[in-house]
Amino acid sequence: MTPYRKQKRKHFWRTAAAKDTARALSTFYTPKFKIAKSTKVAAAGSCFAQNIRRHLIQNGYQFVDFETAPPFFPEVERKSFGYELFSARFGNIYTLEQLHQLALRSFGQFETSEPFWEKDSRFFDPLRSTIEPNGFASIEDAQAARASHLRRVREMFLHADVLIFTLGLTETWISQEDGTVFPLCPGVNAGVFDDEKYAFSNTGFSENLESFCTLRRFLKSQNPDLKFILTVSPVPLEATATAHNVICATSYSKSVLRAVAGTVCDQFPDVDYFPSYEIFTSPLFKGQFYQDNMRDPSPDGIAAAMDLFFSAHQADQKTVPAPHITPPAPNTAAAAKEAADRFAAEQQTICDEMLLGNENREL
Amino acid sequence: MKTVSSNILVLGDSHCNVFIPALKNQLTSHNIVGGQLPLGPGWFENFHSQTAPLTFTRPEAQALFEQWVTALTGQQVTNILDVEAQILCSVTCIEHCVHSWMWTQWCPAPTPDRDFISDTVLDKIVSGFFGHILHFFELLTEAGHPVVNIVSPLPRDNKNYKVQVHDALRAVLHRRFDALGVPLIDVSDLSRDPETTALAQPYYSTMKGDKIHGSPGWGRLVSQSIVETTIFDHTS
Repeated sequence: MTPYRKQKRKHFWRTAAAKDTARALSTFYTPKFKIAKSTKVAAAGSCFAQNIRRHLIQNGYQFVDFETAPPFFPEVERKSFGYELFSARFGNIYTLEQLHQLALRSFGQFETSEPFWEKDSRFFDPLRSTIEPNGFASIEDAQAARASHLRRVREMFLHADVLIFTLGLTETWISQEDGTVFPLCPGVNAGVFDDEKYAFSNTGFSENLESFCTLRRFLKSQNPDLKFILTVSPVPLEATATAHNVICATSYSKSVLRAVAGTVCDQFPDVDYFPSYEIFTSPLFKGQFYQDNMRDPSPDGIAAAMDLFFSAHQADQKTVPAPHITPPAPNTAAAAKEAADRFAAEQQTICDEMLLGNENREL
Repeated sequence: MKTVSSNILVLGDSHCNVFIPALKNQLTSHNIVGGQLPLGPGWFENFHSQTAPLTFTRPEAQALFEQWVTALTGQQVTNILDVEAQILCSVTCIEHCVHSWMWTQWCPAPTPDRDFISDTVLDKIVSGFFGHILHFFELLTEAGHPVVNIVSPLPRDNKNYKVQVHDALRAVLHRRFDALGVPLIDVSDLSRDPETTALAQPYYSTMKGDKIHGSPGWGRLVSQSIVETTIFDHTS
């Protein structure tokens, strides 16, 4: 008798990938630890993580937001100012090292040498340059805003029970002077690109593993009960700075991140992995969970992923109901446009990486 | 500018009661009526409807308002724009948007223990709060009324950075009202204690227990500023 004899149906492709895709999906995820409605959940990461925030709130979970918009701030503008996207106003965090440095900065253990960026007499924080679309009036204001923000981030790390982090990219831009990791390539939104000051890095498995392990060790020293749920964003790269085709670059990036997530999930009891990446990219679903551009997640895809997440956390594993999968809509331009419009209106996400698509280039 | 009456109808909140006596002394040829509206300081919030833009949305409030205007002017009007009087509108705009959250949590200036809000965010908060009021003023201005707006007295101390909040809001309001062409009557710098930067003691209300309003002296400063900045119609 081989060890495979004891395996269940979900462990074999022939049975797991049967025609009933909804049933197959229901076996994708078995939580290592449960999230109760009273669990204080924080979220950070790439743009896909914004969906997690919204769905946690809608499902009555205690999503913690430590940097809320001031009262009377117009609701329609909150997201473009970095409010109501994550658990603090840090904007997209695409890489593990960026999150690691944010944690260190929030506890006063790392300070970037990168100065604030000036553009049209306004000042931008290079580490979250999109959260104030018009920039700050002065360097003093930018410093004060950063200090406020880091206080809030520290509170988030100290008081959250679970941090859900969506790993987005391996490609990153760093300061040659002190290794500061930027969320966006300098010069894209603000700042001036200078190849003597900034370097490109396509981080590999060992670097990302090291970043997470160091981050985890540091955060556990501050908040010993903190648990992590990692996901890998299923959103492909908007652009690559490597010499490779963007699809191949995406495959490398996601493979590395997935391998790191799997490794730390196996290694640490307080780290879990939620397979949002597999839900979107598995051949079982034939790409139906993406919008027409094959990059942006569709509302149905997000609903399927979130249904799986919540049904797994709300129910005993033996009775996990099959997540709801909406059959693909008729492939008409009108239906696609309607779905896209509805998605944009109801579930606006802010993806800083999209700014890379604004670069002028010869095609 | 309307050339129909030397009546001046003052619409506003409780701070009107402080400067109206001084204004009456200065504009002796005018019949100044009005003052604090019967519905309290939040009256502008409900003073707008889709079908009749300058009427109260609640019928009971509208009826009360009509009674009030009728008693003061002898005119029965539904839409305030139809009143035959020059309307001097006074909404003291600081306290309304400086709720306790702002005193205790947010600060527009760099401070060690308050969350910072940028000038842009502050501007948007003001828009969010005053959007309706600014629209109301716009309509009154278009109708030719000499609208002014009054900045309420400075706080008496800078506890919880109240003075900084007050000054930051003033700056935003000046920009907004300048853009609208509406004078913002602001005697903050004339009534400020140079050492504490808060309200100087001579401008404290003389009413026992009143820590919000200004003194008659503050009212005189406001009145003087209104007369200097506002062109009233002197025909009768």
